[in-house]
Amino acid sequence: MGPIDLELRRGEFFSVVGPSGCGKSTLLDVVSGLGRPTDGEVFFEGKPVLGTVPDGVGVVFQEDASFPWLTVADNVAFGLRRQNLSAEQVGNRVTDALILVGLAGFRDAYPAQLSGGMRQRVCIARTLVLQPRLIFVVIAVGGVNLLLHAREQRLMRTRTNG
Amino acid sequence: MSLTLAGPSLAWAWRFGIGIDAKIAFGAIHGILPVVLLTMNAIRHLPRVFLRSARAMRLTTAQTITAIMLPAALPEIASGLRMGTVLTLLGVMIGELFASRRGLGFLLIAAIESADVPRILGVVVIVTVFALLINSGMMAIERRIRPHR
Repeated sequence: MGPIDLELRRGEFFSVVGPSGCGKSTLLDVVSGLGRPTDGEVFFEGKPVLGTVPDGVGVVFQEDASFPWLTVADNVAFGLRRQNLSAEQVGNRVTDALILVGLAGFRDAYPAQLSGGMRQRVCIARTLVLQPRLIFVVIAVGGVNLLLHAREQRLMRTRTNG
Repeated sequence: MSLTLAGPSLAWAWRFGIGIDAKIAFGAIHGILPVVLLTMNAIRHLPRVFLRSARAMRLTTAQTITAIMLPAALPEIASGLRMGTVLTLLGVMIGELFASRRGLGFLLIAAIESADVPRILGVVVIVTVFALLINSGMMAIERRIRPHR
């Protein structure tokens, strides 16, 4: 794959589109820190990305990554509970994130009780709640609910601009 | 799986007899294997995206094991425990059938040899009820630990 020279700025919304197997996922792995480049360098806020996802970067995967043993609220709170936050702060941020993705009425539901699109929104909320400064989202455009797609883009824009 | 264990287990029981310690060991080797195999299987088939999510959320290895791998494998561990408990009962019974001088297995083989049909049926009913009770109890525990299924 490559060569690729890419610079993303704060507030920018950037899409990578291409046929299956062209290297979109590999690119995402490399720039997010989930994978290492065979050559070249990746920087986030001036610091090199060396095979670990930097603090301030969130990733939403194409596959359903919601944890089936946790409720929607617990899924969203998953990353927050590993930070030094009070229960009240966690609760407030989870509620805000659930309202944002339109799942406020499903906080006690389990992922198995939700549709595929709703589970994807759980994963988006789980990433947004950590207030990342850069979010990578992998979405299969083929067969995707376009309305949901537009909504996700609007949510991302709201967050990255905010 | 039980058949794989049966050969060496029975040879051991025939050679050394089966006291209370040996009965426990005999039952345990039947019971542990399904727990180990199902747990290994669950870990092996853990969705890769869970581990990628763990890395994306910067979880440590210990956090990944306790917060993702174990909860994800818990249903299979519970199923393994249920199967293991019933197989332990079966293992003890098999041991008693062939190499013990007491216990339900011995009672059953003695009743078969003397063609004592009421006693045979009595033992079968006791074992069946006991196995069903254990199975129901373990299934209730399973339902409690995986309400999401």
